[in-house]
Amino acid sequence: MEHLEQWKQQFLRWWRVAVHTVPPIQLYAVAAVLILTTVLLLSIRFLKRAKSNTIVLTGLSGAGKTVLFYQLRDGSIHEGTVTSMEPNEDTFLLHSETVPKRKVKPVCVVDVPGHSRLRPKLDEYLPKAAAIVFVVDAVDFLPNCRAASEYLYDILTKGSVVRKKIPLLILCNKTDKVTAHSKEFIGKQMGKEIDKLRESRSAISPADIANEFNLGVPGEPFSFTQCPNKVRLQDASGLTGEISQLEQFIREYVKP
Amino acid sequence: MAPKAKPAPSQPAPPPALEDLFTTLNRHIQASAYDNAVKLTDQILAIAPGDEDALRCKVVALIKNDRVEDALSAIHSSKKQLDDFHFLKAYCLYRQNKLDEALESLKRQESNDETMLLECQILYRLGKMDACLDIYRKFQNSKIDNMEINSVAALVMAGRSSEVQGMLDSLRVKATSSFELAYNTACSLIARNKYSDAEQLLLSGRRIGQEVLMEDNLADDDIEIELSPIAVQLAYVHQLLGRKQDAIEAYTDVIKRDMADESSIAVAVNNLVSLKGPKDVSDSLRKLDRLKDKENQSFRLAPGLDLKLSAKEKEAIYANRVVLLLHANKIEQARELVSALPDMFPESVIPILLQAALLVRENKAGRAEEILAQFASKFPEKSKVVHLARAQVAAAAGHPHIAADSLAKISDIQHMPATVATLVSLKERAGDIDGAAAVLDAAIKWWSNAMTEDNKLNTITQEAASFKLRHGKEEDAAQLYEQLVKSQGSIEALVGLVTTVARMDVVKAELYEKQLKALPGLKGIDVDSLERTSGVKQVDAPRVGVPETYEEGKNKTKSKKKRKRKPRYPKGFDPANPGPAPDPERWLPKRERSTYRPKRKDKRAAQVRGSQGAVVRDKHDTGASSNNSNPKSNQGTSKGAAQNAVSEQTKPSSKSRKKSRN
Repeated sequence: MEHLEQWKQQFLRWWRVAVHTVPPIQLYAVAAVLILTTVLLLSIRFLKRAKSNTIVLTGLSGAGKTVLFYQLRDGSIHEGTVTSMEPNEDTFLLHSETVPKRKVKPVCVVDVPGHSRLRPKLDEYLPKAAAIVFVVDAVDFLPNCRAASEYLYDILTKGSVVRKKIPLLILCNKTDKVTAHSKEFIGKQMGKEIDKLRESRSAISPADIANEFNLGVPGEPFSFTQCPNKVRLQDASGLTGEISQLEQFIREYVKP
Repeated sequence: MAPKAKPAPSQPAPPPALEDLFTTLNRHIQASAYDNAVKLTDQILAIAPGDEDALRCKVVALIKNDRVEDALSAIHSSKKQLDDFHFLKAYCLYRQNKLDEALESLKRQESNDETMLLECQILYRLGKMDACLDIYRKFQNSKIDNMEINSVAALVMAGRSSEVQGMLDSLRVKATSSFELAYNTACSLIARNKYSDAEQLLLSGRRIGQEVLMEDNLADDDIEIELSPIAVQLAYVHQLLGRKQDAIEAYTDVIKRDMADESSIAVAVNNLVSLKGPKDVSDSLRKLDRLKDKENQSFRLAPGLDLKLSAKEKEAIYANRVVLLLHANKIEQARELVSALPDMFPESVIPILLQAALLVRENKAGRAEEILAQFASKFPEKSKVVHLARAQVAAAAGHPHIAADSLAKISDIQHMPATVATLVSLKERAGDIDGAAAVLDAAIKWWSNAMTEDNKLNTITQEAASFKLRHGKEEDAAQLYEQLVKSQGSIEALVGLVTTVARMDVVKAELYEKQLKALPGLKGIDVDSLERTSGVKQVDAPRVGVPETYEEGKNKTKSKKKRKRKPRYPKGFDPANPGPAPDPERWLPKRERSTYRPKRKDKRAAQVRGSQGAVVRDKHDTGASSNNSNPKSNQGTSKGAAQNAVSEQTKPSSKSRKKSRN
């Protein structure tokens, strides 16, 4: 007890001397340095978190998502593909970019199955997606127009997609066939279907309007330009390897 | 092509009621309410009988409302003959398929774009494609909607499909700019036998049609109706490409939907019937019946179909109907339909061929030959097909003379190898050897003088030589073979020549034989050694026989060994002294033996009967006496019944006892 008393007295004595001796300007400088360091650290962490290199391929079963995945990664569909039961996920350089041997950032591509029972898997990948590619079968479009539009409507009204304004590409696959519909026609027909869907969906649950994001402007016919996130329309053919539009879209949102 | 409805301007000095009526009329016309418009024009004409605007509005409204007959009567009954009524009248007549009257009426009208377009339509329907195309060429520089579609259709119908691509290039139009143009261009490709290209174009056209019609917000059923000609044409292309199963499925699909337009269904039914052929004849007949006019007993196309289908299509349907009836052995119906065809299609050869087919089916081949000969002499320019048919009928009926005569009349294929072979065969069957030889000689002369690269002279000469050899004309055959050797020098001809000449002149044959080469495998063969070889075989023969003899002996020995078995005797038995024979009845049942005595059983049966019967009788007597003594009759009856039951039970038991003893 006596030792403590002595230490206490010595400390107090030293403290009084120090406080009186140091000028106020230096104290202000120290505080400023500390605050600045903290802000820098936080901003660095925030910037790192903002960078994402994930591209999500989604769409109905049989639209050609897995073929596009292999074309992007290997430039070949090997022995053909079968209907996927699990997501295909890989981080790689795009096949068309391996030749120049430049220093390029790899891309993480996720091919999510399109069957209705496997759609909950999509929720794992959407929050960390840099962009979404919605693949549509241009040959067999008319029988599947309603189902594809419903799926697209669900994606465009998801909270994670709307809040982060994730850009979306509607990719019309299989356009090498002579019976494939044009992308303008597909875009227009899907717009019509979504217009019907949003009316019926909002009519079903008026009490839950606050929980769901509304698509488009009320009172006007729906158009993809009304979405908060950027929606685009392109052609592609996975079987013949014509996927340049898709690669451009990917590189636009995952900087090399 | 319907003329545009013109809203009537109000007159400068009308009464107030008339002005109101015109205002209402204008509103009805804008709303396409043509029934109300017609009623209103009647009201206006009642007030002002000579009003030209009201009259014109009435006629146009009736046309728009598809009441063409009423429009015509309105035109006729009007007192004033307006200038453009000739045009309206021509249009009404065109809608009623009175095409010649429509043309006459149109000529009285001053010529302008509208009248020329209507004239094109009328000429197209009449089948005068060249005149139609001339008018379209005048429009080449003007910008009229859908002109290229009609131009291509006219070119295809005129049989000038090769000019379609040139026209599209000059108009700077793509074949896929509209689905109607894609369809018409595909038809031109089919006419030029480019089936794969036509298929691709039809698939593109169907996709374009789906897109365009969906953007116009048509219902799915309406889209399907609009695109049904493409579906039927696609099936036809599959048929021509040899994919018959695909074609049958497509046709069946179109027919089952029963929503397509009538002419497409008619074409699908016709093609399906022709694909199936002799199979499913009754089903095919039933399918054809749906194209029939319901009010007519005999088979006639429905009036709507009759208007829409072209002459070729109608002819194909009627011809297929006759062929099906012949396959189904419905001779009466076939005869009725065949008799009507010459009036329907006076320019065609098909009716006479069908009539001949009918007569052949009725076993009247002679009459078929007669009518075919008459037709050929009457229309020499169409006689080729008829002569061929007559030859076939005569050959099948066993009239080779008539068949040969008929074939000989077709001059442009007179000396073709197939014709020559058929003629020779027919004349041989008829026994006319000299005639057959003459045919061959004529063919040889003709080909000798022919300058074509594809010369059949050697082939025919070879066959002629074989023919003459078969029929004993060896000198002629030898001459022909000599010609062949000189011109062709083939070994076959040389062999034939040697074989033929050997029968007449051995020395000459040996001269030619020296030109033949020796067979390589036969060098150095000695005849004597060949004879010795055959001798060696004879020496070997008896050697083969000897082992067989030995084997036979071995077999006999083996069989003998099996037979040497000694009979088994019981123990202690002496075969020398057998003793007495056993009882012959020892295997018979005891009951069946001669020493059997059944006395005991009879006694027992007698005893059993006596005792049982006595007991039953005693009880019965007791019951009867008790009945008499007692005043209660009911009790007695019941007791008697019980006793009867007891007695009944006793008898079966006694029977069973007997059986068990046995």
